Amino acid sequence: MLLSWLIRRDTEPESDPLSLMQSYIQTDNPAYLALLINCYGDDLYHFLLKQTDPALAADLSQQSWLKVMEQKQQFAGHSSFKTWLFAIGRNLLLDEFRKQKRWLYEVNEELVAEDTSPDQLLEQQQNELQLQQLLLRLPLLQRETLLLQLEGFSLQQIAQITAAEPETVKSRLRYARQVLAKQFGGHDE
Amino acid sequence: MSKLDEKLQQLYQQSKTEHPMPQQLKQQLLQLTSKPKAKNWKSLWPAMQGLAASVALIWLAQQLWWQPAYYQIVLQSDTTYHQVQLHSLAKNETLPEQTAYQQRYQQYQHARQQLDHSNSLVGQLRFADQQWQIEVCDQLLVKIDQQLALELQQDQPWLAGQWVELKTGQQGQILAVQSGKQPLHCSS
Repeated sequence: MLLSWLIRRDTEPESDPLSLMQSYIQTDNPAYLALLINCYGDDLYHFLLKQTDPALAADLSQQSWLKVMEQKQQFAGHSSFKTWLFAIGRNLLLDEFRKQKRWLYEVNEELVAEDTSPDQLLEQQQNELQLQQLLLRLPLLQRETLLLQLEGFSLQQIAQITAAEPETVKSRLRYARQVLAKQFGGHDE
Repeated sequence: MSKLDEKLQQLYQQSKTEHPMPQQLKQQLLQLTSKPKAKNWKSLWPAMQGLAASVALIWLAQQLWWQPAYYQIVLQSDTTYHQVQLHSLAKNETLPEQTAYQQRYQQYQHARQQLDHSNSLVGQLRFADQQWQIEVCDQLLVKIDQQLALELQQDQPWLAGQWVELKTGQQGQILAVQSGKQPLHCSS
């Protein structure tokens, strides 16, 4: 009975992401990393996809997970695993933007949908505006901050991921919401 | 939560559902995780140290035991020179390894003692008949076999025509061949 308990303990997957990562660091067992990929793979991919195209999002996702494998010893556990993972993905994305000179502080008109006459915009709003189109109206730093908040990160966690002060994060969120509220016709109550 | 937040959250969740990570990418990642990774060099360090130590030990054993055991001087008759000596290192495989080692060590100690009291001859190096030779005027021709010549050249390679100083031990064996100056004259 004791033996079966021990065996079960040894083979039972850890459920907590922090424990999963710590077990992965200690044992180098790829099964733990596979569980983490299953937990957060979709979240990270979506975060990247909302800021770039599918091919680059896939590429950056892969690079992010490779970095997790290579730099696992650098995970100190001071933040959640998801925060650490998103910080890796975000840094890779910014590196790519720098390479492509797509560092957007202001609204990039090229990325905004071309047919945005008031009538068409109203029609789109009525037909459930697509998130992508809304987000493309935001500068990069506001957009990523908003996306991180929608992903469920706290202000403190967003500050960690984006290497910004919490007050700056608040400010970016406020501006983002103002822009989006206008798009929704002043429904930010 | 404001209506804007609700709307955004709704759109965000809808988008997440519609755009999961491509299955192909997930498969690639899972395959990557299961690939055996190259060993970290740090973890191989003790093994590398062990390997280096083993190689050094093997080399030392080779130097001590597998080198030829005997120094041999064969005198040859010649019409030109007063004397012709053929110096060589002769193998003796019948001796047990321990004896060979002891003998080589004794030779080494002996050579060290003799170096200060060695005889010295000045001659000219030449390479003839696939063999290094040292001509000491017309008095003496010292032929050195290939194996011994290689050992004597470990510090400095020889050049044909070079004047050298030949250090010989009490038994006449060559202890060293050093760069030397041309003698003023040869005594007949």
